[in-house]
Amino acid sequence: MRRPVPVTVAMGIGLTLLAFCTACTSSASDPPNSPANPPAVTAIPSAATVIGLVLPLSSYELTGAQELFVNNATRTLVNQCMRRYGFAQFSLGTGATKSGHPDQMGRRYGAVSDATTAATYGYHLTPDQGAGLSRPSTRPTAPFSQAETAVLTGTSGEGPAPPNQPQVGTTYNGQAVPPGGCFGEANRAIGFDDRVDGLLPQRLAFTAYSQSRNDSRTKEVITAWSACMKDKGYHIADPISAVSVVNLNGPVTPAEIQQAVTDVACKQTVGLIGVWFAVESAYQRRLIEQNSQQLDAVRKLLDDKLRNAARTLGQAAPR
Amino acid sequence: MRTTGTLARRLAAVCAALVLGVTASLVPAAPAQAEQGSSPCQWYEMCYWYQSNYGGAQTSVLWGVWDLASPPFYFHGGGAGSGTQLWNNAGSGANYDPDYCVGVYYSQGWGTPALYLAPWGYCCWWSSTLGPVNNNNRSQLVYVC
Repeated sequence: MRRPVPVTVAMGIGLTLLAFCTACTSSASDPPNSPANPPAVTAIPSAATVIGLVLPLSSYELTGAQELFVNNATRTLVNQCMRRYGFAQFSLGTGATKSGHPDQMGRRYGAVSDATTAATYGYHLTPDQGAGLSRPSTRPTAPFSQAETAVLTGTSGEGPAPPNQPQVGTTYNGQAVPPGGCFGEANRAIGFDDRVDGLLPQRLAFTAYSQSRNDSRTKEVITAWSACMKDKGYHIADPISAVSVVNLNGPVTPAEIQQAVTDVACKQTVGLIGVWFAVESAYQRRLIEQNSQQLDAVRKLLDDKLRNAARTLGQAAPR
Repeated sequence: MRTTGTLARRLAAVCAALVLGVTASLVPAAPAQAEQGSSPCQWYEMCYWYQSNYGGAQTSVLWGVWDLASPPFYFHGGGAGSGTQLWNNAGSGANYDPDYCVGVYYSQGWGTPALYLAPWGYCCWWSSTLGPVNNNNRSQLVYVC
């Protein structure tokens, strides 16, 4: 039986106020990253969906289109290098022109946060997200010969091998192979600096996400969401685990769609997306301040890669 | 030499994904590997090690899996961690797919946040610690990049 949920509406309003006030209670003596010292939240968007929301740390990562652009430039340089060694027909690449990089917001606050997506796909991946699941039924054969692998990587060519294999000075048909092979040459030409921690933005994003999930303001809104779901007949502790009760290996079912639609409706009722996004953004901004020097180096390296890729391909890099 | 047949198969997979469109997410994915992880890792697989810096036992996962805990994948091949479940126990990883990127996710069902690795050979196709998903690897997704 369906019951009205006026309590959760009121909780949503109350939580909005709470989100502003909690940050005012911390002490100046608390360490910056202490749970007792949550960052101030300056604004909470009235977001009914995650579509269009952008987190601060995304400035330090390539977009999907930029990632594909840089990889295409790398492929071009590797192919050119391989031809210098006599592999005339060698060609890397899938021919794909559209990136399938998952939207980092789409499944962030639970597997579904958009009413249209929920009503069509339930908790399943959308076609754009799920392209990589359309896999062949048999395992593909080895993509490269031993000779090709040797020139590609500057190793003995017995691949695939762990990435910590020692680099050896190799030759092929009397021609010296560059350090790291053709991939090493191409990666250096596009932009590689082992002093720059390219995975730092991903690690910081995870830290901020974890901090935001444990923040009292987010916990309150998650509790309100769970209460809303309970009112509709679903006993789920938090939106992240909502997907655990469906089978994503099977087809989408009416029951799954019903739950997903209810999930999104409850998020809208309690303002979960706006509050969690605002809290996570605040934690990200604090981490950006604390790691500004390293992040600036990451951004510079990304800009170098885009510039070098544009020169290689003779095209402007996507924005 | 890279064979035309291999490339054609990969292109066919991409085309199938595009042509199938909506139905791609509505049909069951192919069953996970019968062996639920194997060692040594082979081409096109996402390779995991039990320890950081590619040490200890190894296991591999082909294509996308929405829940690495159920049915469980295990580390194989002897060494530290052999026989242990892959879920929440991976210390390092490398993407042996030369065409596609892979995302390793904290939550089942590809729940963000994640670690994204480039195709084999490209900067940067490996992680000696798996960074944010060290010991927190619940699902993985392969995607065009």
